[in-house]
This record gives sequence, C-alpha cells and structure tokens, in this order.
Amino acid sequence: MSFLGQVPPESLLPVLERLGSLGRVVAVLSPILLIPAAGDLPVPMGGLFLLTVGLLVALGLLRSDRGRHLPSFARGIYDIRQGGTLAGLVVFAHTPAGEWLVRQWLDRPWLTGWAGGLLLAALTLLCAVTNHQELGTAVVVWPQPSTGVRFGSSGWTSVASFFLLPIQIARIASGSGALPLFLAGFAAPRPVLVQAAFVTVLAEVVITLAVRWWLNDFGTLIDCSMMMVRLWPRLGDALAHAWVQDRLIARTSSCTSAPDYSLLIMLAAQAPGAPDSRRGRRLAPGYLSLCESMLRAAETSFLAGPGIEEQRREELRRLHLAARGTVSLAFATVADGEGAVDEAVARSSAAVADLEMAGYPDFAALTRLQWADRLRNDYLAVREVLRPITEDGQGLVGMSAYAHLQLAYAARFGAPERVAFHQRAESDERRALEGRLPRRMEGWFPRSVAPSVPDVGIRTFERLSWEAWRQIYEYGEPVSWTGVPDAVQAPESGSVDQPGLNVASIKFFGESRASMSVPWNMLCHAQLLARARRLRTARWLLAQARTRSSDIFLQHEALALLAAIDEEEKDWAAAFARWSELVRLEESRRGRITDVDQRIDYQAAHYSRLILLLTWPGRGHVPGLPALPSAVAFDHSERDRSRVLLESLRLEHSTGDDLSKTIEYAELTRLLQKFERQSGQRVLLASFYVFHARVIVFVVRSGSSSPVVEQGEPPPGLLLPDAPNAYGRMTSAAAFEQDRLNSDFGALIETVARHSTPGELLCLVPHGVLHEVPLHAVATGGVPLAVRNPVHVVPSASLLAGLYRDTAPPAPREVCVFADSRPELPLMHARAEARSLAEAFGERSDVISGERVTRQAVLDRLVNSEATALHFACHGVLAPDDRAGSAISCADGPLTMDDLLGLRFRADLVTLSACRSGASRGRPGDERLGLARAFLLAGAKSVLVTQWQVDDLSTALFMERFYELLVAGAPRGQALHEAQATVRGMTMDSVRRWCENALAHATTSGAEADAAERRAYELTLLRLLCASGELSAAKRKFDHLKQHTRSASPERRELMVLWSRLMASAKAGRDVDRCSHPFEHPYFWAPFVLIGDAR
Amino acid sequence: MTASLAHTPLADLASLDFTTEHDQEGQPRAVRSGRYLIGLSADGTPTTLTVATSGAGGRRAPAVVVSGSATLQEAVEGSALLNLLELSPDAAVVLDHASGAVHGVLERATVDAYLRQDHFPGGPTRTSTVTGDDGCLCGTHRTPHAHVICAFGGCGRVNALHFYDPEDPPLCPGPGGEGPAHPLTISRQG
Repeated sequence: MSFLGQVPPESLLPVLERLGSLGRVVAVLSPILLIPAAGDLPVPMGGLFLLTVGLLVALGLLRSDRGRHLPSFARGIYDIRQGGTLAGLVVFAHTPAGEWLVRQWLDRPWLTGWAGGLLLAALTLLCAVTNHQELGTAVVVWPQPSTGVRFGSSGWTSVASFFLLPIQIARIASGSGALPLFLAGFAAPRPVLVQAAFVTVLAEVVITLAVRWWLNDFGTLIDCSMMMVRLWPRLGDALAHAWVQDRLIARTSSCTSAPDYSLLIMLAAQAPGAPDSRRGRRLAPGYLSLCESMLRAAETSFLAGPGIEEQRREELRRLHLAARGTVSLAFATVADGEGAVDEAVARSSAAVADLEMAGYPDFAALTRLQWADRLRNDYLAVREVLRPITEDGQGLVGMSAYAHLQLAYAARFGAPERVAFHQRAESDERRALEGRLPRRMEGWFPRSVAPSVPDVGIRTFERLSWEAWRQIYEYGEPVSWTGVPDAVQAPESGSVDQPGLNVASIKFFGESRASMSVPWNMLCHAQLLARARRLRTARWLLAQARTRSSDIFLQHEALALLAAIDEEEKDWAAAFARWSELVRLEESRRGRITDVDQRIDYQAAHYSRLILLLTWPGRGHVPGLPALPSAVAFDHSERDRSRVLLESLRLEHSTGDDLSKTIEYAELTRLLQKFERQSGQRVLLASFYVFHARVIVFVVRSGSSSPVVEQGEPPPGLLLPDAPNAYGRMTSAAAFEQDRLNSDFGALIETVARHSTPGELLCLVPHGVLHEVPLHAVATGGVPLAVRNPVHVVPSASLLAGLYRDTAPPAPREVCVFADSRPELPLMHARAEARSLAEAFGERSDVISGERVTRQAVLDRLVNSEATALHFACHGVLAPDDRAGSAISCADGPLTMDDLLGLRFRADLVTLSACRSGASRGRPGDERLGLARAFLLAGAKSVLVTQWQVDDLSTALFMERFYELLVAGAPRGQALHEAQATVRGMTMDSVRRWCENALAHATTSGAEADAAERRAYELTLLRLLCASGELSAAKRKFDHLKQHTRSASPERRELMVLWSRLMASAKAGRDVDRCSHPFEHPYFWAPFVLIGDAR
Repeated sequence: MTASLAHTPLADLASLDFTTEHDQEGQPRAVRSGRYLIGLSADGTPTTLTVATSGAGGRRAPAVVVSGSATLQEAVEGSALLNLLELSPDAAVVLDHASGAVHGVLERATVDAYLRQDHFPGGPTRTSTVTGDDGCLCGTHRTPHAHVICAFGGCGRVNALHFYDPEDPPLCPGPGGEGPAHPLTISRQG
C-alpha cells in the first residue's frame, strides 16, 4: 500500500495545520538562530547574509503563493522541512565531511554542482522506488506551481522534486551552491567566499526570474511531470491517488465544498495543445494517460468510496461525468490531430454521452458539432450526429446554424442541399440575434468542474467557430474561395476573436443580404482581430472584404481600420495614404451627408485622425507625407466643417461657382493678400479646431506657405455640459463671468495675441462649442482682445472665398428697421435706436415698430425690400423647440431660422440687436443652426449678432454709433471696433445728455404712446443718478415719478422694484467712481459679434 | 467675491445648520438657524423671521421666502426680492425646491456682496422671458414672496406678498378670507 493512498488521522489535522502556519517563520528564522549557536562564526557578516537569504525565501514564498490554493497541510509540511533542511545543512557544514564538500566545491564548483545534482537525482529516484514518505509529500505538493521555483529550492526536498531536466539540475546546482558557500564562509571567513556566495545568490535570483517569467515555468513543470510519468508509470498512479486524496476526498469532507477537478481539466486542456510541436506530440499521450489514471482513481477511491454522503453522490457523479466528458473531448482532439479519425469519433461519442448524462446539453451540443466535424464528408453520419441539434433543438439557438453549416460542409457535392443548408444557417443565425447566446454562455460550461483553469470547451468553441466562419466565407458567395493562406492562422487560445460570440457580427450577418454578409463579417472579424493585435490577419481579411463589396460604408470602415493598423505599425506614409483615400471616399458621397448626422460624425472622427497624424509633435519629415503637413492639416480641418452651409450656398447660388469647394491653404493666403491690398489693413486669420482631447489653432498670415499650428488641451469650459449656454445667460455686469472666461480660454487667445500685433484685423474661425464663446472678450495682456484688435468671425474659412470674391460691399444706403415688436414688453431705447437709424438714413429708411412687426410682415419686407441693411431692435428669445438656436420675438410669435430658410434677400448687412441673437445649436460636422446662419444662407454678407442678454440702453448707444460709422464709409469690422470703443468710453454725463435729449424728443412729440417712452427715460435718468452717487437728486426724481404713477399699477410696481434695487446697491457700498464710465464693463460693449464680411 | 456667485443657486448660498423646535404636541413651530429664528404656521409655512439682537426679544420681521433653485442673479435681477427685503432687511428664508420645507437662510451680506460687483445696475435687457405662445415663467422655481401676518385688530391672517409698497399697502381679506377687508398691517415687534 502506497503512502500516497493514506491521509493523516483526523485528529492530527488541526495540529498539522497549526504547524503549517508556523512553518514559514521557522524556515526563515531557524538558520539565523542556529548559526550563532554553532560557535566561532563571524556573526555580523554571516547573519547579514543569512538574513538576506531568509528574506529572499520569504519573498519567494509570498510571490509564488499569491493567488494559488496550495493546501495548508502540504504547505506546512513543506515549510517545516525547508527550515529543517537549512538547519541541517548548517550543522552538516561543521562536520569534516561538510568541510570537505565545501573545499571541493571551491576547487571544482561546476563539477561538484553537477555531481551533487545527479546524486540528489539518484537519491530521489531511490525514494520513489521505495515509496519514501518525503517524495510522497513532494508529489502531493508538486502539482502546485508554488513549490516549483522558489529560492528555498536549495533545500533537499525541493531539490528532489525537480531534478530530472537539465535546466532544473543546472539551476539547482548553482542554487545549491549558495548555502555551502555561506557555510564555508562562516567556518573559515575569507572575502572570496563571501563574494562567491553573493554571486551565487544573484545567479539564483536571475535564474529563478528567468525560469518563472521567461521560460513559461508552468508549462515547463507540466512537461517535467509528464516526463516523470512516462519514465516511471507508477509515479502517475501515485500522483493520481495523491490528487484524489488531496483534491477530491479531502475537499468533500465538508458538505459545502466541491471537489476540485482543476488539475485534471488543466491536463486535459494542455493535451490538445501538445501536438502543436514535435516535443508536445510526444507528451500528449502522457497527459491523457495521466488523465485516465486520475479518472480511474477518482472512480475507485472517490465515487465508489465510503466517504461520500448518499445525498451528494448524484451531484458528485454528474461532476465526474462532466470532467470525464472533457477528457474524452481532449482525447478526441488529440486523436484528430494525429489523424486517428476513428479514435477521435469514438472519443467524441463518449464525450457527448458523458456530457448529456451530466446534464450539460449545450456543452454536449458543442461536442456534437466537433464530432460531426470529424466525420468529414460522411453526410449520413453527420446528419445523425447533429440530429439532436437540428431537429430536437438541443443546444443554443446559434448552434443550429453551425450544425447546418456542418451539414452543408458534409453535403459539399450536392449543390442544392448546400444552398438550402446555408440559407437555413443564415436564418438560425438571425434568430441568434435575439440575444440569448452571450447570456447563456455563462451557464454553458460546467464551471464547478473547473473553477480556475482555462476552459477547454471555450477553446474548442473558438476553433469550431473559426472553422464555421471559414465555411461561411466560403459558401456566402458564388465566387469560389481560394482558401485561407498559410499566413493566416486560426485564433490562438485566450484570444478575444470569437466571431460567433460577437453580437455585432451576427447582427451584420442577420441584417444583410447573403452576398453582403460575407464581407461585412470579414470586416467585423477583422475588427476583433485588430483589437487582439493580430494585425496581419486583420489586414488580410480587410483586403478580402474590400474586394468583395463596393458598398461605400463597408469601404469606409475597412479603410479606417486599415489606416489605424498602419498607424499601429508606425507606417505613417501608408496611414496617410489610407486616410486620404478615406477623405476622397467621404467627399464622393457628400450628397448624402446632409441627410444623416451620423455620417458626419464618422467623417469628422476620421478627419480628426488625419489631422492628428499630420500634426503629431516631433515626428519630423516622413517620406510619403506632404512636405507642408500643417497646410494640409488646415485644408482638412476646413473640409471637415460647415459642409451643409457650403452645399446649400452652392445650390442657392445659380452662378455656377463652386462655392461648396472648400478653400485650400494657398488660396486662402492669396485671398488675405487681396484683402490687405484692398483695405490697406493687415489681417490675421485664426482657425480653431476642437476634437477629442485637443484644440488646434491654425494661425494664417497672408502669403505664408504654411500656417503656424499650435495645439493644446481643451479649455475646461469646453468640457462642461452647459458650455453652449454658459456665457449666454449673463444678464448683468455683476453676473459677467470674466474670470472664468479668462481662465478657460486665456491660453487660446494668448496664442492669437502672440502672433498678431495690436490694431490689425483678426478673423476668428471658431469650431464646435467655441462658436458660443465670446472669444473676443477674453483678456490678453490685461484687456479684452476686442479692445486690442478689431475682431470678426466667420463660420469657416471657406466662406471667405465666397465673400471676398467680390469687391467690398458698399456702405449701406437703405435700411429696413423692425423695432420694439412687443408692446407688452416695451423696449424704449430700442425705439430711440430705430429713430436714430431713421435720422441717419433719412428717406432711405423704412421703420416698422410695435404691433406691426408681425412674422408675416417681417418676411414680406425681407423679400421685397430694396434695403441693403436689415435691422432688428427687438426682444430675442430662444426658439420654442430649442432646436434652431435663437429667434426674434415678433408681435405674433418668434421668427425662427426655419422661417428664413429658402428665402433670398437683397440686404447684405443684417443686424440682430436683440438678446442672444447669435445663439445657435450645433450639429455634427460643425454645422450651426441659428439666425446668423439663416441670414448668411439668404444672401447676407455680414450679420451682426449678440452673444448674451444685452442692456437696452447701451445697445441703443452702440447701434447709433455703429451705423453712424457705416454711413460714413467705415469698414464693418472697423465700425464694430470703434462703436465698441465709443460705448466703452462714454462718461456718465454723455449718457445722461443722450437720455435727456431722447426724453426731450419724446416730450416734444406729445404723442400718447410716447408717455411710456418718456417714463423709460426718466427711469434711466434715475438709474444714472443713483449710479453716480447723487442720491438726493435721485430721491427727488423718484418722488416725482411716484407722484405721477397710480398706486397698485404696474408702473408703480416697476418703479418701486427699481428703487429698491438702486437703493440696495447704494447701501451695499458699490463703488460709485466706477460709474464714471458706466459702460466700461465688457458686459455692455462686448456682446456684439460681426459674422462674415468685415469690409 | 467672483462673478460665479451670481450663478450659484440660493440653496448653495444659504446657511444650512438649523434645528427645528416643536410644540407640546410635537408639531414644528419654529426653525432656529444661528441667530435667526423662523416662525412657522400650523401648516409649516415660514411666517416670521426673528433676528437675535443684543437687546431682549430680537428683531422680528415677516419671512421673505425664496426658492433654493433660483440663482442669486435670477433672484436679484429678475424678481422683487430686494423690494421684499425692505420688509425683512436681515435675511430671506430659502425653501427647498422640491419639498417646500425650510432649507436655510440667505443673509443680506451675501446679497450685498453680489450688489457690490454691480457696474450700472438695474437696466432692462432685450430678452423676453416668455415665448410667443405661453405666459409661463421660465424656470422651475417660484418667485420670491413674503409671508406677512396681518396685525390689524388681531386679524392674524398670513398674506403672501410678491411686492410691497409701504405707502400703498395691499388689502387683507381678513381671517378665512371672509371678514371685512382692511389695509394690511405689519408688526415688527419682537
């Protein structure tokens, strides 16, 4: 009776467990404690080295035990023995024999090492022959990798466990050398001994690391074990018995724990992989033989034994059957690989029987598929094997498709059957779309059998699915398949490419036509392969897919993936060529872009990749890439934006000019040169491009060959969910978030300022959310950009080609004004604004105000008016559906962008003097929807809009000055700049004079409707008095106004609320000096943005 | 003080440490927050705000309530809050937007900090808070209002005021809304 069939008495187990927990401490401490006791030793030196060794041992234990489940009993014995071995060696070194051994080692270290190793091998073999207890214990712990490689393997028992392979012997020889050297050093202290010991310790460390991490230590151990079993079959039986005792019987002693078949499953999983190499082919039978031994031992000692409670017997039997089925499956796979078809079929049959009895029908169905595959062209046999799947519905829904594919494969000589089967397979695949496949996979494999090892079933499925996909590819098209080239390997174990498990690929398969499904599946499969970094195979599949379908979306996806692979392989030139091809492909389908937002998304993403490629910092020149990559990058950034606008302009303009053609860098610089010649003013264009986690600024100068490109992180403000609305909600100077604006976008504007000089015209081309940010109000050098430079905005540089193609627009001659359209919400200063425009233009003005400003009236005037300037001085609102940006509030409802689309105006200047009239909504492809865009489409060359809620008075003052300058012939950009400066520099007195003049005008007119206007100016004067700190005068005016308002009237309430507000500000300690220039704050002068032509 | 104060919801600006005082029947009668004592009516409505002073009794005023979801800018620029604060100059009671319960106290100092940033205050803007189709107030919060207990002849009715003109006080309909209407009388005694 072998020791391996025995277990310690139950009463001893707790003691052994306790000793096991202490053994590790003993192992580390015992040599250190024993060395001084041995006497005449250089304790500091020797203790230090032994402490080092001890720590290394501890580290090795900790590391190798991490995540492992070594039984504490076995571990305890191991540790105790290790400590004892070390202590024994210390004592041994003090004997004459030990000293002699050390001397010999010093003289002939390698010879001694090998001799020692071989001697140990012989001793261990002797132990095996005599069933020595030590070896038995070693075998018990042997399957666990934790005992495989550790620094403590210098101990006798560990040495005895791993001595048969040369690599192990060499390692042990060098490692074992360390301890005698130490001991020699203690016995006869000499520096050379200490150094030699240190070197051998280092060698041990290096070799251990190498074996563990670089030589696939685990596989090596398994191979070592297999060789041991082959050399000594009895050892296999011993192992099997030990395994049964340790992993099955001991674990099921408690009703709550399950037997651990993991070693068996692990060996079974290794076996099918073994025939991949010549060496493995020799080993595979050993694996399977050992598996059979283990199964036999389990059946005799475990299942048939007395230690199992009756109520668990059935459950344990099922587990055992599942494990046996798995081993049979491995047998079948190995046999199939060896060409033993009959054996493979028989084993498959046995596996199916076991798995079905075990209650795993899905796993059994999978095995049937593999079984059928081994039957090759025996159609009848295949049909019989697969009948439970195809007719009885066994297995997962998706398996039926694979079953039919197997049938189709078997019926390859009967074309009608093959077609029918293929159609059926498609149908079943479509049913798999219902989503049950991935979910049911969870309960597919009997995991209680193999809790912690790779699933042989899954791997089998991988192989099977790969074969199935090959067949799908083959039969999906009438064109004969040329065969998968040798370079394309089947998926390796552990890879993620399981197309059958990928719902997306099944989806394509189900939704597409049969002829389409093949290339789409290839694409999907290639995506999975690329993700698993199997780039060569993915590239091959993509090439196949592209030749099989001309579908533009498939071509797009395939090209994008190919380019990404090129980038992955650092083939920049090839990637650039792919991206360029992709761009051309996208542009060829431009007509469709206006319909589908998603397409624009895709396009934008891929353009971004291209730009990233071109602007990669520090890459330098790469052959095959453009000589001026920045210019090309600018071209692509420009091609990416505002395509709907350009397309629409092309359709609207019947001139035949190709406005939709995006501008290229060289042409843009020529345009800027032309602009500078005509206007005598220098101009700088700054184009922003936002994508992913990057903002690019292209700085364009006239005549330059390439733009200056600067990149940076996106401003924090861009990442906020309410970024588009963040600056539009400012309703007062106190609420103006200048600090936030500066901190968010200061760096961006600093870039522009760095490349420009004060006073020159700046043309900003925002992108994405930046359209909604008042970039001109961001401070640079302590002042807002718009103070430093005249600024205007264009939605895309390409629009300049259409704008600057003609001569500069003349100063507006006629104006059509729509003012104060909501009598219930009067805008008194807007009335004055309309009046000032009427005065400026005289008879060439057409002013419509009050209730007459209906939507229809506005639209009629827009279309029929001969005015070259349109001016709205009204309330602004967001469009009701919040979809199309801002709207102008008319007497009968809002005038939105939708109302304006499709119209054509004569006016080339439109001013939207209302709150947030520039608000727009973004769409993919940097398309902005809003009033400004609508007016540009309708023919306006410039649109003046506002970016937040504007103050009625300061706006009126601004507009009056703006038009005054325009009529005098100032360019629009310059007029904007100067009007802003005027408002900014107005003093309290000048504002008060303006109000008093307006009040006088309203008073002298005497009309009843002007009473409200007069009152509005009175209130404004009240504000001015309070703001300038003249509170006594303000109180007199307040009392005067109060006397002239009826109690409980809305006017009284308005007055009281305003007075409370003004007094509260005064009491709060507001700095009245600040009000010497009441509109100095950007809130008052900076909301205005000129979009379009600045001439 | 930064401009972001303007966009901060009042709920975030209000002091939150308060304790609820109950009567003998266990009903909440008052909320104490620092030096403020908010008196509650039987249905839990804040009716008075008493500020502890160096003298006895403190300074009592009607409770001006404001929704915690409104920003400071919205409350100051878009409503009659400052007018109502003339009734209760020390603080306003911030209500929880969802439950309507007392959330905290907005001190006058916070409002003043906002006002000190002002440049040229109080001008109308060119935005209409209503669309052409409806007359609803934008946003989800209620406008500020003051709960005033009428002191006229022991009337005791709680009136909700959205605006207050001391020279032209509104009429109080009397207890239960059925008595003879009389001018609303405000008592400020502690």
